[in-house]
Amino acid sequence: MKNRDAMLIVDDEPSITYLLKKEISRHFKETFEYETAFSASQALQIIDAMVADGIRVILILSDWLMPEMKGDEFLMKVHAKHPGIRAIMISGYADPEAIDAVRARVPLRAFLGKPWDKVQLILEIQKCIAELEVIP
Amino acid sequence: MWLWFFLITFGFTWATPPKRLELTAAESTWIATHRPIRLGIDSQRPPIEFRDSKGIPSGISLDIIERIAQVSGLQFQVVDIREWTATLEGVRQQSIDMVSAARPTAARAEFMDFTKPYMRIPMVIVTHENAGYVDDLSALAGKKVGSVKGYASSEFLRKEGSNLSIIYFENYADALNQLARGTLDAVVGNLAALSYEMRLRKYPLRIAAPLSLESELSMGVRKDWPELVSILNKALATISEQERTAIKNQWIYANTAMDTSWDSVINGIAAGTIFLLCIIVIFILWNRRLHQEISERRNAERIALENERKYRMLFEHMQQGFALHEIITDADNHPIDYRYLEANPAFQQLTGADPAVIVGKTVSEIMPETEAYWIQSFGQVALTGEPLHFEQYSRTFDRWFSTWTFNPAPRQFAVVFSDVTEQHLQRERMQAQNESMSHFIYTVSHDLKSPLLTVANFAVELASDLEKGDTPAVLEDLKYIGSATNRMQKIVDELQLVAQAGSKKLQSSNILLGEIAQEVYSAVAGRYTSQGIQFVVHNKDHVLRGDKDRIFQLLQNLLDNAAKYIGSPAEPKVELGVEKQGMESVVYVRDNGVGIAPENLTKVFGIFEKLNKASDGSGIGLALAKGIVEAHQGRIWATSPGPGQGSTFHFTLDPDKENRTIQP
Repeated sequence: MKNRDAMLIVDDEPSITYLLKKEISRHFKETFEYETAFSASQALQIIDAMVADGIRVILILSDWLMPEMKGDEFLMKVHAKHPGIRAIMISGYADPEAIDAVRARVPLRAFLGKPWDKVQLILEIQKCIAELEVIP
Repeated sequence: MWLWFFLITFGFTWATPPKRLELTAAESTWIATHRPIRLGIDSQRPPIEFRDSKGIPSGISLDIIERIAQVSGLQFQVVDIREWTATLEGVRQQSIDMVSAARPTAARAEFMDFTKPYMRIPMVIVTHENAGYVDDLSALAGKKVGSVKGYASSEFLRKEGSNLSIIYFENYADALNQLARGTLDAVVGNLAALSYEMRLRKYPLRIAAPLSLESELSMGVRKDWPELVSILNKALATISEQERTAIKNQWIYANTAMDTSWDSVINGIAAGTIFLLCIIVIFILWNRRLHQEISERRNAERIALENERKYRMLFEHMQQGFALHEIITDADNHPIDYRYLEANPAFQQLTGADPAVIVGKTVSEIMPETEAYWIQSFGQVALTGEPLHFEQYSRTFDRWFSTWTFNPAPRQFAVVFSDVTEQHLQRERMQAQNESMSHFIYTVSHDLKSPLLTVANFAVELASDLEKGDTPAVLEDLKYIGSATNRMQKIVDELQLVAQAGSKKLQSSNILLGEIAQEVYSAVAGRYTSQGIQFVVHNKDHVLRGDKDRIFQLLQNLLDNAAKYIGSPAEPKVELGVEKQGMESVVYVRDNGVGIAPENLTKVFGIFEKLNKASDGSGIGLALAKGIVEAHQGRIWATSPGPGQGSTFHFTLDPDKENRTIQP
């Protein structure tokens, strides 16, 4: 079984996850696997499942404002369990203090607002991928 | 008055009998052989010499002549020719022997010899009363000045006066007449003569200034009779200075009454009558004044009474509280207390304090808990006079007052105030409303942004997918666009509801709880069955009173909310019912869902609290419920044992509150 790298997209709005997945997969094509989740708790479950399957989750793109668990709490939980997973946050409105808190505890590679710039999104993802070559 | 002067002169003549002259033999002979001496006078020169109303020659010079005659034995015969110049000519021609009053001049000295001057009369400038200041001849430069032909003053004017035009008259009377009329600017001449004429005619003239020239009166004698000159001089020497002054004064200052004739009697009667009339007039006027004063005073009293009545009426009936106080200060004149002097009924209404009780007492006695700022502010007004207006909260009465304070008398201040608590609370309510309105607008625009963005994004995707001919993708895109527009639709609908909830009038009717519960359930049935939620209705027979459509929205809202937050219990259940709390009937919607944390119990009704973005509705939901309940004059609140232990929403309705009559 060939192990592939995967990206996880988390947002409680289906239209957002759909769009993001479409954009990213169109660009990176078969290089990666793309998974989506509609809540933080769902996402955590999916991550555990993939890791158990031997799939390396390299990047999470997450929203902030989600019901129950917010994006910052979610990412901190992920980082605690899987420190190697990089994170990009995409949000319409994020509390500046919360962002600072996240940045302090989790290595946020980028923070993008909604609507996001397609070019910038791809760029940030490529930066993350580039890091992989150096730090596996 | 003239009597007095007459007596004086009379007295003088008696008191100082004339000295007999010491004449030489030659002189005595001369006197005896030259009788009478023809004396030329100027009959138009009062008071020096003239003919009185009886035609008798009179005047200063003639009084002197009389003295001389008495003392010397000379006999004089008065010859008078109208014009003075003719008289002088007569002396030259020696048809006249002497003149009794003339000023020595070089020209005259050719044909006359002069005695030593026997009197000095100043020369003056006479002007109109209203003329400007004239202090000497130079002031008359360029002016028209009157003078009598042939008089020494004319000669003087010719010599000394520069730049003035001399107008000659026959006599002083004519000259002064013209001056009074304004055709002349001034008249120059002898003080005695001029003042005599002025007084006689009562001209509006005045003696403006003396000239440097004094009129020296001498007697002029024909040149070939030098003996006479020396006799005359001797005779003149016997007349004392006192006598001469007396004569002069008599004629210069008491002239109008020289003629003891009917004129003076008539004058006297006239004066008396006028005086009497004056007294009568004064009396009448005085009387009138008194009457006026009395009526004025009565008027003033009436007005004062009227004012008092008006003041009283205002005082008693005005809605605002009114009180008059006296400030009390410490040794440094700082306000520390004040005493009540007056208070109106409204004062009692607003503060509960009875004027009868408080008048005379100080505020520290009556309301010791009064805040210092009241005393300070009032004290400021009482001591500085500056009026003050402010709105302040009074702890004592737990009300807001709008106060106008002013300073009607020293150390006093008057206060007019009204209770503005209602307005104040209203203002606060409005402010709160405005704030929540702003928040509302912000949230709604925010909520609309998301689906709008979705539509925009997917439209782009749609374009490229169409281009690629990727039909499944196109369908997917359209699906997303569709749901986004649906969401926007819902938001706009709820917006309208919120607007309506505020504006449309309530139409209250009786609503059976069981019936409306059924209707609402059919609206949410789909959701409830898909989520497996059990719906139970208690108290189906209870009758609610309210606007049917709004109550429907309210219940649907609460049921939707319950379903949203049902979470995942083993047996999800939502209950609707009514319970009695005291006198009130309280409707409740209870769920066994995710519950509400204590700190969020009030927040859930806030417009800007949205806890589930992905749901169909917007965050307006519970705020709408709150709006509907409040439109029914009711209350809505949430209770929850805690997170994970379900929540209950309670509300009351009282749409007929305002119309209800209070049952005893």
